[in-house]
Parts: sequence; C-alpha cells; structure tokens
Amino acid sequence: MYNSAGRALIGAGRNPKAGRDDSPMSLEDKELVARAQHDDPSAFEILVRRYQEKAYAIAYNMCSGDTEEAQELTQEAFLRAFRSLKNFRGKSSFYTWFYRILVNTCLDSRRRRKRWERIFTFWRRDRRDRTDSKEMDEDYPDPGVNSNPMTALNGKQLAQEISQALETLPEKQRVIFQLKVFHGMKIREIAQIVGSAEGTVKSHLFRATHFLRDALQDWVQP
Amino acid sequence: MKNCRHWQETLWLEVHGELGSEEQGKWENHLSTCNACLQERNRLIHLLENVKEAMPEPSLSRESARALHTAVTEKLTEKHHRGWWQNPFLAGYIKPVHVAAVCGMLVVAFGWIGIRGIQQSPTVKIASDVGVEEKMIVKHIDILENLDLLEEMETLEKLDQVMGRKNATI
Repeated sequence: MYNSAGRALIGAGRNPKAGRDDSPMSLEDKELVARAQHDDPSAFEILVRRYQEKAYAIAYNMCSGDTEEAQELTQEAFLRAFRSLKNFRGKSSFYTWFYRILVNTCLDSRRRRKRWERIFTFWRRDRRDRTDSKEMDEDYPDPGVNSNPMTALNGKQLAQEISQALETLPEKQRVIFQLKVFHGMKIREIAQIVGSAEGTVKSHLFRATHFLRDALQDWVQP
Repeated sequence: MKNCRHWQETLWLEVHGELGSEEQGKWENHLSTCNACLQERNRLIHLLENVKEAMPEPSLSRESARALHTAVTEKLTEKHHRGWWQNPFLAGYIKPVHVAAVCGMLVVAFGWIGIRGIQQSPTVKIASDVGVEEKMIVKHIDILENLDLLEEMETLEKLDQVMGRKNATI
C-alpha cells in the first residue's frame, strides 16, 4: 500500500556515530578522554581524527557553506573542547558534549558576523550582491556530479531555495532541522546538544519541517 | 488529514525516523485506511529526500583534514609549553586587543575628567565659609526679599531731603 523504503532512508542518517543506541559513552571514547584529561597528545590526535570530518560538516552547514570559516570554527571548537576537557564528567557521550561546543561556537560566530554586518550595512549589501549567486552555486558541493545536467540544475536551484528558506527560520529551529535531516542525529542527542527538552526539540523540528514544506511547495509533490 | 490531527505527531515522527515499534503497527493500520495521511506522508518523505540530495554532506579534503589536525595539535602543544605570562586572559575570551581598548577608554575618560577638573574656577571655598554665608542669608531673608522696596524707600527719602533743601532756600 505504501512505500516503507523511504522511512529507512530518512531515519538512517549519514553519520555512523549519530543515532546509535548503545551506551552513552563508547568505551574507546571513554579511554581516549581519560588519557586526554591527563594531557596525552596521542589521545587528542585520535579524537581530532575521529570527529573532524563530522564536525566540519556541521560547521559547514551552520555557516552557510563557507569552507574557510567552517575549518576555522572546527579548529576553534576542538581547542575549546580540549581546553575544558578537565571539566567533562562523562555524563553524556563525548561526541554530544563536543558537538554542543561546536554548535555554540558556530552560533557565536554567526551572531558576531550578523552584528558586524548590521553595523556595516553598505559592506553587507555589497557583499551580498557579490556572494549571493557565488555562495549558493559554487560553495555548496555539487548535488549531482554524476547525474544529468537537468537534474544538477534542479538540485542547485533546490539547494538555493532550501538555503534561503533555512535562513528565514528561527535560530533554534534551523539548527535542530540541520542536525536531524543533514546529520541524521536522534532527537535525544539533539536535545543534549542544544540543551533543550526532547519535547521542545520535537516541536521545533516539526515547525521547521512544516515551514519548509510550505516554502518548498514545488518540490513536495512526488 | 484534516480529520486526523491526533495522527500528526506520529506522521512527523515517522518521516524523521523516530517512531517507536509499538506505534508503528497502529500507524500502518491507520495508513491503510486513510488516503490523506498516506499522501501527506509520501509528500514529506519526498521533500526530505530532495533536501538531503540537494544539500550533500561536505567532506574535508585529505590536505584540509591534515592541516586542521596539525593546527589543533600544534596549538595544544604550544599551550602546554607556554609560560603563565603568555597565556591569554580567561582562556582566550579576553584578548590583548580588548585590554588595549579598555585601557584606551580609561585614559580618555580620566583625561576628560582631569581637564574638567583643571577648567573649574580656582577659588576654593571652605565648608565652614559656606555655612556662615548660608546662615546670614537665612537670618536676613526678610530684608533680601524686600530689597526692591527698601531701595525705593531710600530713593524717596533722598528726594524728600532734596525737596526740603529747596523749600528752605526759597
């Protein structure tokens, strides 16, 4: 009667770490964090290698596709996390704790940038004119490198519309939607990352989905 | 779907892959009887698939990954080898530029207060002097209030004297 394949696709997510149902903190992470708390450089190294890819992807989405800024924010988040690692008590998993730091770092940077842009209105206008087309078309990874040109064009147009729609969402709704849909995290994990109750996260997620459903009417019909 | 408001949360949870196995059975039964819910579900799944496809997860190139990793480890080791005087204030939240800005503002503020202080009149009154002056004002307040009247009376007296002298000469 209905297609159940979609459910599996939507729920699966993209991250092997995100969305798992095992103990709050995996053994490897626990060991590494304990070693890192005693200033073991190799433990830092393994943790960076393990989480840098995912952290970069989150930062990239949160700073609207600016690769350099995403790398800087990832680096800053790692440094902040390692500097305050001694305060980490292991009540949550290391990665949710770290992603929380990362999300806060990205939000701080975004707010700072918005503040400056508000101050330098002319600069903002000029920059927006120059980057609007460039940012959407060039910075975001090509959605369909191997697909036909028509699909690629549609993908780019959709990516642009999604970015614009996401920009108009309130901060929390946008972050929660991105963590859920782009990074495949569980609602429980998102609640820990953004520091809200699961019910609140659900409510934000549903509102964001509802908003995008209305904003992207043309792309909704199967 | 309009008549299925109580299924809405279940629908959202399902399309986001968060529906529990217990509710899944009930939801599937409902879908088999409600075409509106089924269509809405398919629309949302289609939308989310499109969104995911249009915004693929970026990946770090090998060089960028290495550069990021090196930068983090270098900064961490650098932190361990630093002296206490080289550490940034409050774990990096306060930077030298902030301190310089605050110092500059303090210099400007104190400089302004200093200039204002110099520009003030050099006459210095002692507290006791001020007290005496105030006491005198309170004591002779009646005179001060009727000062105009007294001046007029004085003028009249002088006029009277002048007129008296004139009459005497005549």
